[in-house]
Parts: sequence; C-alpha cells; structure tokens
Amino acid sequence: MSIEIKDVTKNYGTTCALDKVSVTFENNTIYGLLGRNGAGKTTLLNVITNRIFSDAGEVLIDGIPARENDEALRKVYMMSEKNYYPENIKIKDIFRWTGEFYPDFDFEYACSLADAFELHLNKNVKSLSTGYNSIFKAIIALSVNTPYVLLDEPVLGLDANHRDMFYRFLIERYSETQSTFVISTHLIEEISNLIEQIIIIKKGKIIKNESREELMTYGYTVSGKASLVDEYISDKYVIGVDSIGGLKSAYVMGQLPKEKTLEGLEITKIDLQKLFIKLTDN
Amino acid sequence: MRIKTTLKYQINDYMKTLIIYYLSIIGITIFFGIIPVFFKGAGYLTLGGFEFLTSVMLFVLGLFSFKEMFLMMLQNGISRKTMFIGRLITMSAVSIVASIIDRLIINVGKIISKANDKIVIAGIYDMMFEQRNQKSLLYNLKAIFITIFLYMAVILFGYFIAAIFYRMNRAAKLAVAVGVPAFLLVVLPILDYTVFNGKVFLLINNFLNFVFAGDNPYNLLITCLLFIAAVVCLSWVVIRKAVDKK
Repeated sequence: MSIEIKDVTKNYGTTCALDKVSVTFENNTIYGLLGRNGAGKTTLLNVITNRIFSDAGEVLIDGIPARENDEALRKVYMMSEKNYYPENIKIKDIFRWTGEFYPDFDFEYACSLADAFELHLNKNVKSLSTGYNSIFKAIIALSVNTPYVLLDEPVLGLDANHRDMFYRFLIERYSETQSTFVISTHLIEEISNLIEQIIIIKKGKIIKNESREELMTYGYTVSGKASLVDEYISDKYVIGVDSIGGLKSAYVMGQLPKEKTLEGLEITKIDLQKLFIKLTDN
Repeated sequence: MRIKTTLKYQINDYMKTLIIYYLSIIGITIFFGIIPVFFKGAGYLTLGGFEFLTSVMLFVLGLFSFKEMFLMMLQNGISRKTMFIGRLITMSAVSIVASIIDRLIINVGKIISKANDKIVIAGIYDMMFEQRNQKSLLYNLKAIFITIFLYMAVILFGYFIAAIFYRMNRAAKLAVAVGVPAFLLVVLPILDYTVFNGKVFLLINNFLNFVFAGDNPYNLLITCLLFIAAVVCLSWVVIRKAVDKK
C-alpha cells in the first residue's frame, strides 16, 4: 500500500521541473514535502493526481498505474492551492458532490468542521475570502477518507487560530484513519512537529528523504551567553545565528555532542527551518 | 471507470440550463401567442425558429461547459477518458430531450395556429423539408430523429471549440479569434472574387442547398453524422492530452 513514483521527469520548455524523481509515499504516514518556490513540489503532486502528464517515468498507486486510471485515482484526493471547483456552486453542494465522487466522504464530519471554522455552507465559492477558500478545501481533504491525501499549501491565507485548528484536526483525523497525508508547505516550523517523514526537493530532484528524527541529527542548536557561544562555534560549521540581548543561539551542522550541557551552554535539536534553508540554499 | 457519477454530475449541470431555456421559450411563446387574441389587427403573427434557437443555446452550452467541468473532474480524480465518454453520453441525452421538447412545443403551436388563423407557429424543420403529412406520428418521429443529430453536431462543435481554446496559449487564442473571422469574412470573399471567380461561394451555396434546402432531410442527417464523427475524433485528440493549466 503506497504511492510509488518511478523516475518521473517533467519539463516545461527548457525548464526541468522534475528530474528522474523516484520516491515512495508509504501507508499511514504524514509526509512533509518541502522545497523552495519552483522546486517542483506542485508539479510532483499534479503528476501523481493525473492533472498533468510526466514526460517519462510512472506513478503507481497501490501497484496500479495512476495515469488515466479512475480506479487508482479514486484512492487519492488532492487539495490544491488554486481552486478547481466551479465558482457559482454552494459549499454544501460541493460537499454533496464530493460524497458522490468519493463514497467514503464523511458529510457529517465535514459539516461539523465547517461549523468549527464558522464556514457558511450556503455561500458560493466565489464569495469566499482567500482564507475561507483554503478552509473549505481543507475541510474536504480532512473528510474525504481516501487512503492518500495530498495537501498543497493547505493553510494559505489562514490566520494563526485557523492554522492551529487545522493542524489539530489533521492530527485527530490521522489518528482515526489509516490515511497517508502529504503536506507541501513553506511554513516549515509550524508543521515540524506534525510530520514523520521529510522529503526535500530542490530544482526538481529529491535531495533528502528521511524521517524527521534522522534529519534532526544533521545538526544541533547551541544557546547561551553570546561570548560562550562564540567561543564554542569558532571551529564549527555554523549555518545560522540568532541573537537577543546578551544571549545567542547558533545552528551548527554535525553530530549532536553526547554531553547536553557544555560549560553553561544548552544543546538542543536543530531548527528544521534553518536546516532546510541550509540544505536548499544555492 | 466512474462513469455513473460523472454522468450524474454532468447531466445535473446541463439540466439547469435546459430548464431555464425551455421555461423562457414557453413563456415567450405564450406571451406572443396571446397578443393576437387581444389585439385584433389586419396582420398575423408568425412564431418559429425553435430549432434554430435551441441550436444556438446548445452551441453556447457546449462552448461554456468545457473548462469548468474539466477542472471539476480533475479535482475529483476522473480520467479524461471517463469525462469524455460522460460528455458524449450527456450531450446525446440533452440532444434527445431538447429534440422531443421542441417537437412538442411545435405541435402545440400547430394546434394554436389551427384555432386562430392570426397566429402561425411552426418549426424550421417543417418549413424546410416537408409541408405535408405533418400530423403523422412517423413524420414527427423522423423530425425528432434528425433534429437529435443536428443538436448533437451543434453542441459538440461548441465543446470542441472550447477544448481547442483551452489548449491554446494566449497568443494562439487571439490569433484564432481574430484570424478565423477575418479569413472567412474578408480574405475568402476577396480571394473568391479575384482568384476563384466566385467558385468557392458557389460551392458553399450548393452545399448548403444540398443540406438544408432539398426535399430530402436525410442529406442533413448524413451531413450531421459525418460532422459528429469528425468532431468526436478531433475532440478526443485535443482532450486526451489536455492538462491542468492552473
């Protein structure tokens, strides 16, 4: 039970969006698909869901080729940043039709989420703000109950409260179902505690595909008095520094030291966002 | 294939337009139909062209139903093959329904025409092809049968144009939108006059006479069937490679 992507290549003119990408999304896992703008994240998700065609390679969903295959495609739901639903249709009608296309769609649950997010079901799609446009699609994604749910920028335009609600509902849903969630987002810090497996894509190539725990061993954070931190990092490979008053935090690449406290310094896990910036920096 | 759900959605989408259209047509027919009853003048009122109006409506329906439906189907994991087959079945169903309703309206109109000689209500098919035996069941069935294919040709053509325009980039859309009318309305008449000595328009005129003005409605039927076959093939060529452009 997995989505298998085998040597997928996609070019837009002279731009290579995906370069022989091979990756597997296993069952019942939350993935973070991370990459800079134009790295190929959306292209990869669009190829999986048959919205665009790859130039080479293939996608298998539970062993079935996904290209132009209704049986394979019914196992995947993709929430996109852009809207694919008709603009003059009411939200409740979209829920109803989603239930027709995806028989496991939980209409009652979707209505309860709409209530929690204060989304009016009688509103038309075109009358929704950017935030609520994301919310209605996120509600569908959380209620659709397909084995694989792909979320492309799911919290675009959402305020902090709604983002927090979305993450809580996502965890709740994940614990109740056996679905795999793939989250593509730029808000790395916010999802860092949510994701189990991290896939980093850079210029159309997968450069990392590891568990969050494994990735976190790439470096560590040293915090403490600025003078002590400066002394400690003098011979280290530092990828970033934050200073507040006389305190400093340095993000160091390399193995985490065995002793957690070094002469008044605190050693903690590396900041995922800082690591991402380092890994994807040109 | 998830054809059943696809069909259900597509038919639901078309039905709304059909209901609004026919309510308008019936309303207009009743409104203009009763005018001569209250205002008795020397002249008489002719109402007709139902098939033409329906053809225009179906063409527009085909034209405006591609992009929105295509994206909705992609969102719901429907393959292009299923959405295309669903579209063909939906278009056929809509053409059958429209053809039957039009014939019913025309026949009710004929009854009104008979009751009041100041009103003439007739269909284009009746006026073009057969003036006699219009009451017979066989005549009406034949008219419905031939009109179904005319409507299918028209709605498919609208769908095909919309699909082509969807695939084109902005520059190509502009070139076609300006180039085709310019060629047909300006370049072709000039070429025909200067180079072909009017033979092109004579050929077009003969073709139209063959299709519409002859006594034989089967010329229209055969033309529609050939046109449908060609447009179905060309549409599939266009749609099978259509992708999300968002």
